[in-house]
Amino acid sequence: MAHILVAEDERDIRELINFTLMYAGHTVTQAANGEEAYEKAMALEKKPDLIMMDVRMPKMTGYEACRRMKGEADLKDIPVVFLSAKGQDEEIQTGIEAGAIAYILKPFAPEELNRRLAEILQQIGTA
Amino acid sequence: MYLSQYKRETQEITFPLYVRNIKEVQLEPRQLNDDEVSFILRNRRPLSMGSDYFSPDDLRRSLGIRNAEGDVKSYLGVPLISGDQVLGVLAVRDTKRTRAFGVNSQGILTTIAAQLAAAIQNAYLFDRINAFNQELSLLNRNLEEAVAERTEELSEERDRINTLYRITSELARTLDLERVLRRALEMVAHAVNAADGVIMQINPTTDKLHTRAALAFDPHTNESDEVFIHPATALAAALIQEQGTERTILVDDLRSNEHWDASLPGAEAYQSALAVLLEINDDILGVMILLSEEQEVFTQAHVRLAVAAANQVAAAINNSDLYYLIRDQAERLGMLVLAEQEEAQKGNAILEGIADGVMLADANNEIVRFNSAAERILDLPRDRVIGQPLSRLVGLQGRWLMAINQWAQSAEADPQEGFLSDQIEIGSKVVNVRLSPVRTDSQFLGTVLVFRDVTKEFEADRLKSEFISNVSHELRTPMTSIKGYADLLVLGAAGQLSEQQKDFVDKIKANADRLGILVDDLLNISKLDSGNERMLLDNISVGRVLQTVINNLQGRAEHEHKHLNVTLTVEPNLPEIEADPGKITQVFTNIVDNAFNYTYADGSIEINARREDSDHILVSVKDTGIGIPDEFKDRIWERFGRYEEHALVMDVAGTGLGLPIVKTLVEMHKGQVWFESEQGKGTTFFVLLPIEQGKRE
Repeated sequence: MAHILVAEDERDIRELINFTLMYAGHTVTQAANGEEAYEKAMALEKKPDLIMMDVRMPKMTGYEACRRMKGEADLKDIPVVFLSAKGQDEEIQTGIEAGAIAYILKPFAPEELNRRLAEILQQIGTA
Repeated sequence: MYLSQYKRETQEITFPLYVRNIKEVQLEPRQLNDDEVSFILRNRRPLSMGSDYFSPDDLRRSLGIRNAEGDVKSYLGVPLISGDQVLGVLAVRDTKRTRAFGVNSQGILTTIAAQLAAAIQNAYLFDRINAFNQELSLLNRNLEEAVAERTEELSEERDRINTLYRITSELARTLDLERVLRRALEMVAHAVNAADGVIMQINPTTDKLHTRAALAFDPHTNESDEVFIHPATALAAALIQEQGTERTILVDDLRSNEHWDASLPGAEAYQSALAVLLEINDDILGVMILLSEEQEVFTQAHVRLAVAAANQVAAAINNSDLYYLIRDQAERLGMLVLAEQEEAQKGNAILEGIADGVMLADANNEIVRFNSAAERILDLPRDRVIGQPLSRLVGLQGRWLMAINQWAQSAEADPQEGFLSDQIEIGSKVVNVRLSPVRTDSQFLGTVLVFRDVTKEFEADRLKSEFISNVSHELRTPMTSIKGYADLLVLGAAGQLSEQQKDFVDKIKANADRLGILVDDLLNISKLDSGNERMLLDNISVGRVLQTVINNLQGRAEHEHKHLNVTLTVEPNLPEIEADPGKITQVFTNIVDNAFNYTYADGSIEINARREDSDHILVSVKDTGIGIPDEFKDRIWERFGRYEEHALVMDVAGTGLGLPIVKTLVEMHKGQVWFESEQGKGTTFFVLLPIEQGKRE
C-alpha cells in the first residue's frame, strides 16, 4: 500500500478522502491547503508515494503548490493527482501543465477513486 | 315787239313777251340758229333792218341770216347785256313800213334793253340765291338729323358700354356667382328698362333649367319648399330648342305668345320679353330673360346690349364653374398631399421612435434611411451615411453583400430566403444585425438592416454562464461529501447496514447522483453557451466509443438490477471519423442512457453503426421503450423539455438538458440528429456524422 499526501481545504471532504484511502489500505498525511501540503511534503522524512490535491484552496492553490514541488529536487519525481470540481478542459490542461499526471473530477464515488488510484500506482510501479 | 330770253347753258331761246297788233301771242321756244334773234345773241350788237339803202332781204343775205321774220319791213333788235353775259334780245318790228325806226328809236330801245337786262339779271340772281338758300336749308336740316341720330347712337353705345363695363367689373370682382348674377341682372334690366329679369342655367346632369338669379322672384328667399319655377322657364326652353338658328327672342306682346302662360303666379303683369342665350364656346349654359310690364318696350339696341351682357354673364358662369372645379380639384389634391405627408411623417416618426437602429438601402445598395437609434448604435452621424454605398459601411461583412445580391437577383420572393442574422463588435459594443430584403411582389426594392445593441444581453449572458459555472462548482463540493459518505455507508465501511438502512442510503445516493447529473448538464450547457467550448479533434473509432458507452451502461444495469438486451452492430471496415472524443462519447452516452431509462426491463436496445455515404457514417440507437408522445415530439430538443408523465412512470432522474446538449454537440461536428418514435413500441435515434471535419472557420 502507498503513502499518500492529501491536500483539501474542505474538512468533510478531506476526511472522506482520508477514510476512503485508509479503507483501501493506504497511509495518509493530511494538509488543509497548498502551502501546508508543500511544507509537509518538504518536511517528511519519508516522502509520500503520491500527492493528491484540490485545486482551489486558500493560501496557496493546488497548481501553485504543484509547481513549487516540481521545482524541488526531493519532490519533483513524486506523481501529483488533482482532485477538483473544476472540470473544464482549460482547468485540466492547466493542471497537466503544472506537472500532474491525472485529474480526477469531484464528486467521486469512493470505489471509483480507489480504482483510479490503483491504476495510477500500478503505472508508476508503487503498487 | 317781243322780248326773247336766252339760256346759255341750254342754248334755248324763249319768248316771255310777244305782242303783235296789240295782242299777246305765244311763241314756241327755239334753239339758237341763223335767225335775227340768234344773230343778235351771237354778235352781241343791235340789228336794224328797213333803212333806205338796203332792203331787209339784202341785209339778211349779206349778214347770213336765214329763217328770217320775212314779213317785216323794218326790224330793230338790241341785245340784253349784263356784264359779259347776253341774256336775251329786245326787238321791235314793223310789217307795213320801211324806215319805221330811226336812230332815236335805237337809242331808246338800247336804253330800255340795258334796264331790262339789269332787271332780268337781278331776277336771275334772286332766283339763284333763293334756290341756293333752299338747298342750303335742306342740307342743314339733313345734317342736323344725322348729328342727332349719331349722337343718339353714341349715347346708346356709351350706355351699353357703361352697363357692360359695370357688369364686367361686377362679374370679375367676386366669384360669389349668385350675388354677381343678381347684380348683373339688375344692371341689364335697368339699362333696357325692364321690370324684371331672370337668369336660368341648364343643369348638365339633369338637363333641366333652374333659376340662378331673378329680380322679382328671388329663388333664395322663396320660403316654400317647392322647387321654384319661374314663369319665363317655358320661354327659355323654347330659345334653347331653337339653338343654332336664333340667339335671341324678342316678344313684343307676351299675351299672344305660345310659350307664355299668363296664369302662372306673377306672370300676368308682364307684356313683353327679351330672351338671350348664355353660351360660351358653343356650349349653351342657359338663358337670360328680361321682362317688361309694357308692350313693345325692347328695341334692337336693347337686344345688342343684352347679347353683349349675356356673353359676359356666360363667361362669368363659366369662370365660376371652372373656379369651383379647380378649387375642388386643388382641395382634393391638397387633402391627398396632406394625407401623404401625414403618412410619411407618421412613418418617419415610427422609424425614429424605434429603439433598434434601422438602415434602409435601395436596390442599388445606396443607403437612403438611417434613424437616430442607428446613429447611436453604430456611432455614425446620419449625414455621413445617407447616400453612401452599403459596401462602404465600416464592419460590413462580405457575406452580407452576397446575401443581398442573391435577394436582388431572385425574381420572386423566396419564402425560404428570410433574413440574415449576424453579430458584430463595434468598440466595446456587441451589435446584432438582421438583414432582410424589401419586396413588393416580385420587385426587389432594397434591404433593411436592423441593428440591436446586445452588449448588455451579451454581458448578461456571459455573467449567467459564469454564475452557473460558479454555482455548479460550489454545488459539487457538498455533493462530493453527500455522495462519498453515502457510498462509504453502502460499502459497509462504517459497519454492516440493515436492509432498511441500506435502502435509505441508496435513495440518498440516487438523489445525489441525480443532482450530480443536473450539475454536469448545467455546466455543459453553460460551457456550450459561452462559446468558449473548443473542439479537440482526433481520429476516433465510433465502434470503440459505442462499446465504452455500452460497458458503462452494463455497470449501471447491473447496479440497478434492470436487464436489457443491448446489441451493437458495427459495419466491418467502418472508417474512423474526425471528432472530439469526449463530446462524441457524451452524445452517445446521453442517447443510450435515454434508451435505457425509457425502456422497461427485458426490453432491448439495438445499436448500429454503418457508412451512410462516401462522406458520412450513420449511427442508430433503437429501443423497444415507451416511445415519445406526438404532442411532445416538437419539444424534445428544447432545454428542460421533459415529458414528466413518462419520466415519473419510468422513475428517470433527469434534467431535460440531455438531448439539447446532444443536438448542440452533433451540430458542432457538422452532423445531424433526428428520431423516429411510435408510442408503446419504441424510439430510434439517428446520428449522422461526417467522416472529415474539413477546414474549420
